[in-house]
Amino acid sequence: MYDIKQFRPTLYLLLLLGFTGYAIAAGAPALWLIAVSATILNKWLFDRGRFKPMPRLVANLVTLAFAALLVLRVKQIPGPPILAIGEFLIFLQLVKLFEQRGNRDLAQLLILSLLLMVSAAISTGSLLFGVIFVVYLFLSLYCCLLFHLKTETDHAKAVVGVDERKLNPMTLKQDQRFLSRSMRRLTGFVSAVAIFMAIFVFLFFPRGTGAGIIGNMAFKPAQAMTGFSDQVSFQDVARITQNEAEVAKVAITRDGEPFGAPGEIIYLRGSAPDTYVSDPDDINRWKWIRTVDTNSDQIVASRGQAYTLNSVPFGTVRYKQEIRLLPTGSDVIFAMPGAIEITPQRESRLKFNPIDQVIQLNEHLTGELPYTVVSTGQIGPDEPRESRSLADSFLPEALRQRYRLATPEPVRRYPVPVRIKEFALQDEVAGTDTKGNLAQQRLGTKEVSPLDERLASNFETYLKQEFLYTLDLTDAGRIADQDPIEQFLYDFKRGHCEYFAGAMALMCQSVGMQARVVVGFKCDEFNSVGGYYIVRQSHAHAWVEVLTLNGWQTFDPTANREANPLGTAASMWKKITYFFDYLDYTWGNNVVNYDADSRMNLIQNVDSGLTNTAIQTSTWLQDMKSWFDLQNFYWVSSGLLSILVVAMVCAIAGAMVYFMYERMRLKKRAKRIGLGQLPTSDQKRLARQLAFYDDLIQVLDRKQVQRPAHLTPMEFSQSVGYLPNEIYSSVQRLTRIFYRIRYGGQQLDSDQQRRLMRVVYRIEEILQTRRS
Amino acid sequence: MATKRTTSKKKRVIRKKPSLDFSVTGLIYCTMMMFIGLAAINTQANLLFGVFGLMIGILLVSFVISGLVMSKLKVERAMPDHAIVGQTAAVYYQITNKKRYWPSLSVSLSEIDGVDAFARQPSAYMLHCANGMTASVPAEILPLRRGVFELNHYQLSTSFPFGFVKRAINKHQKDNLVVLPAIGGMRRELMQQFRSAESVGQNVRPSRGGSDDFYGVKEYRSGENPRFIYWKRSARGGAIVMREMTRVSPPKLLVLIDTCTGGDKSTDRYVAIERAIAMAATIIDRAMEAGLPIGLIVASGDKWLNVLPNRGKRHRLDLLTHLAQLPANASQDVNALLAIAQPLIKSDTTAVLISPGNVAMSLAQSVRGRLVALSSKADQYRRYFQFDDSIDFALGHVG
Repeated sequence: MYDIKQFRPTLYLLLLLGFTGYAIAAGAPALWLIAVSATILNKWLFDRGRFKPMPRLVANLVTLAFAALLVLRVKQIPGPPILAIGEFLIFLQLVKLFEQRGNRDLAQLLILSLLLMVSAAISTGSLLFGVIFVVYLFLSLYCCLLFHLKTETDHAKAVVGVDERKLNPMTLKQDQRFLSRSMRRLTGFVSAVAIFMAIFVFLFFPRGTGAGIIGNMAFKPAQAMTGFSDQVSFQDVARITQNEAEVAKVAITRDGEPFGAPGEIIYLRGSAPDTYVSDPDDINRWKWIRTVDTNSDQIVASRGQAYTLNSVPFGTVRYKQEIRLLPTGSDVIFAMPGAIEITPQRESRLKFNPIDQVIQLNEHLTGELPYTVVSTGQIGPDEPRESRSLADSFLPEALRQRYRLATPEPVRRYPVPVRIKEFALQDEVAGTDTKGNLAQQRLGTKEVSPLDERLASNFETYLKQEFLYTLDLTDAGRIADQDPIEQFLYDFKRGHCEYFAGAMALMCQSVGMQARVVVGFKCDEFNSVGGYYIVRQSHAHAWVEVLTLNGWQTFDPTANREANPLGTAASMWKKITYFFDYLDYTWGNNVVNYDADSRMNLIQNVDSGLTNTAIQTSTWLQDMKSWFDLQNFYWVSSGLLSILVVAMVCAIAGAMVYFMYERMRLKKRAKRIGLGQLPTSDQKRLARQLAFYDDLIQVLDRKQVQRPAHLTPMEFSQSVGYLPNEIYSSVQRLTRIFYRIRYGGQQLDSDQQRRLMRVVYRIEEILQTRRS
Repeated sequence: MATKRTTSKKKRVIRKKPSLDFSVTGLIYCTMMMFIGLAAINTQANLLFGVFGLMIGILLVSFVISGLVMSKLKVERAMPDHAIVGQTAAVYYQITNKKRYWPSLSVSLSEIDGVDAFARQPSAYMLHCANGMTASVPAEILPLRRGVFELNHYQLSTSFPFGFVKRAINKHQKDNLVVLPAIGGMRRELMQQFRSAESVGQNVRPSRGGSDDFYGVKEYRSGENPRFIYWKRSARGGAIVMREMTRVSPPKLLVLIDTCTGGDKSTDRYVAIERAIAMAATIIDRAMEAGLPIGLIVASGDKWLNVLPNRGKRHRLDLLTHLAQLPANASQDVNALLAIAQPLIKSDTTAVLISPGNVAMSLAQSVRGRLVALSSKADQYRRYFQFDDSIDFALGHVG
């Protein structure tokens, strides 16, 4: 019985794809290396005939050990255990690979591999995994078909118990020759139907209902970001390495027009700490904290619904940002300044604080979150000007009433260090005018002053010009118990963005201005292929917002942190990277983030499309009906009738011509074959049946192999021994069939005739090939 | 003590599948599909929705393909000329896939009718038959009893492509299979006993066809060995003639089988009769191999079956076929048999009487007719014959 040789290589390939998919989903290259090496070793052992199955007892013990390891891992790792289960599945597959004895083990391997891919599919939505997953599914179908054939064949070998020698060699030859082709056809058919169903279910299966009914088992635990942090602390004095990991993709339109260009900078606000504290009891002693009254948070939730955060006058420029935010390890939501409206695309509880305009999640982000924000691009003058400041820990009552907020508990005040105030009061820092030092002039005022904008601008310019930007502070030995901002301003005169922003905000606050540090992203990486910004960890940034007469103004005092000049002329490699990134983005938007709204839109589109078609058809029919009034009806019907009659006459004439032609052709053929002396009915019957022989004679005639009149067909077939063996034997075979039909009364059905014609074509092909 | 006949007959379970069935694998698959669906709903992971749809598609396509595989299959059963009890033979099935595009894979074929005659249900398996092609697959049969058996209905079944759905269709084609009686081993001494007529000179009568002495001439026909052309005579006569030589005629053998039950309906009696028939078949087979002409006299129902001694494969098959279809005989006893056979037992003929019981022969019968008497009783047949232990003679009679 034919051995299914294709199965084993397909199985190995399937396992390798499964390992690769999981490694991509879990980000586990070491595990991938182990699994792939073990698989290759197993194949090598099999190919060399050195494979000996692991004893069952050993396999069971190893499995138990891995199960114990799984329990430990699940206990150790907080969050969903799906990735630990995936690791366990990989080890189980390896055990099975080295334990395999029969089809049962192979079936278990297949199922384990499928489960592994399912666990990976739960954990990731990346394009690369998606591609591997699709390939895996096709291959698994092929593998399952082969496996079924293998099991059935093995079963038949055992049960039917036929001696191998009794098998028909022609049938075995047919299996060897056509089995692969047949399998390809069936796999294609199975794949087409299965993929159609997959797309159908994917598009139309109701979403949202039943989510989380058996608990959260998805998603990998949030990875803490090394670039962004919602708290600004100055405790770590170390070299900060740039992290190029992607955080978000942001597609922006400005008043409906696509916005963004390589090198054009956007600021995405995150958190806004407003108070600098020094708590000797805390490990992070010096830090900026957000002391805004969180009781004022407005809870916004639900998916696909737009929530208005602020109102702006008609005609204000609007930036609509479609953001896909990856897990950040924090609860901060990013948006351009001046958020007006937010629409989460996933079921999530959002908090918005109208005072510092910070948007947060109710819990840490664990999965990808797509959302849409409409912003003005700046926090305008309509925003509350009397927000919290160091001078006033409490919101004014008017503002509190405006936002219907409860009176907060008094919070501890933190005075600005004196040395920073002294630094800010220097003439070269604050600037002067005809009346003297601007900072000195500002000190006397409690309200927002026209001087604030100039002062902030002067502080910004001074820091930018006189200080250096660096991520490496390892050589700047910090003096214990000394304020790092003071050290930055007086001693080091270099630091990263948080030092710059912290220093400027403190300087502003020291002269009575209202200022806060804003942490978020400053992004200039624009994917021109997809038309969106790519936000990376390395784009994490801190800047300052100062309250002026024109509202909260953004100031970025960090020196030498401008747009990447290469961004304007992306290299070919960069373009290719952008292209793949765009594919990933499209995959994420259209596949991974396909949700109930998308489904409803699709259904509505299909529905409206069908309705429109129906209406159009109905209208067209109505038009036709009205056109067929009484006068037109007779004209058209008589015309149609005439056409019909003419067509029928033509058809009859054509049929007659064809009949005559066929008759003539058969007569000629009968004459050529030598049936002329037979009755007409026999001539026609035999001429039809012996068409293959006539074609054979003509093919040979074209190649100058003519049958002399004195030779019988059999004698002629024996006389062509000089032709190639294949043709000679075919001619003999066809001649024998000719005799059986001509003299033996045998009848050929249409299939047999077709097959014989194929033999004749084959002879012609061979003759042509030989000649050429 | 004689046991009842029915005890040795076991009721065989014939595996006949329903036309559409769901397998255990299919149920496991459905459970997995539900699990994936639940995971998709719970996690709202879109890829899992895709997988869920894919699994539904695979289930649907299983129904379609299993039907497709079974459609337009033309099956022709090719029976062997005959089979022998206790020896395997193969029935071939020519399966033609008449579909234009789709192949047929993994089709099992099982006989439904006449299965009781065989050790197991005759089954064949076709791995693959491409579109427009014909595959020939064998089914091994091991007959348990002699007779003529009709194979009619058979079943084609498949669980392709994934084993979730099982489909079966029934077809029929009437064919008869002659199962010859068991042929076992025979001791050489017995054959020498049969050849004892050779030692008597008057029995040896030369006949043509050998290579001993000159017998005569005959006209040459194309295809004959030119070594025997008689050139001198050919030259004299003008036509090519060839020499014919003599050969010694071997003694004839006449097998007499006593199949009379004599009112004894016990299994032992039937077993003894069946064994007698198997012994006769063995003698016929061995004697034919040795080149002895063999005849047969046996009661066939109310009539007598009388086959004159002859040689050749065809004659052998005729004799064995007669034995295969031999019914039980209730009235014609051994004396009647000897009376019928007496005129045919000539000087060059050795008669072999096989009887299920002890044979009491007169001296005259023994000497005059050169009669060899053999008993098929359990304690006696082993002296000369040996049959495969797996052959159960209790199953062997034709009811």
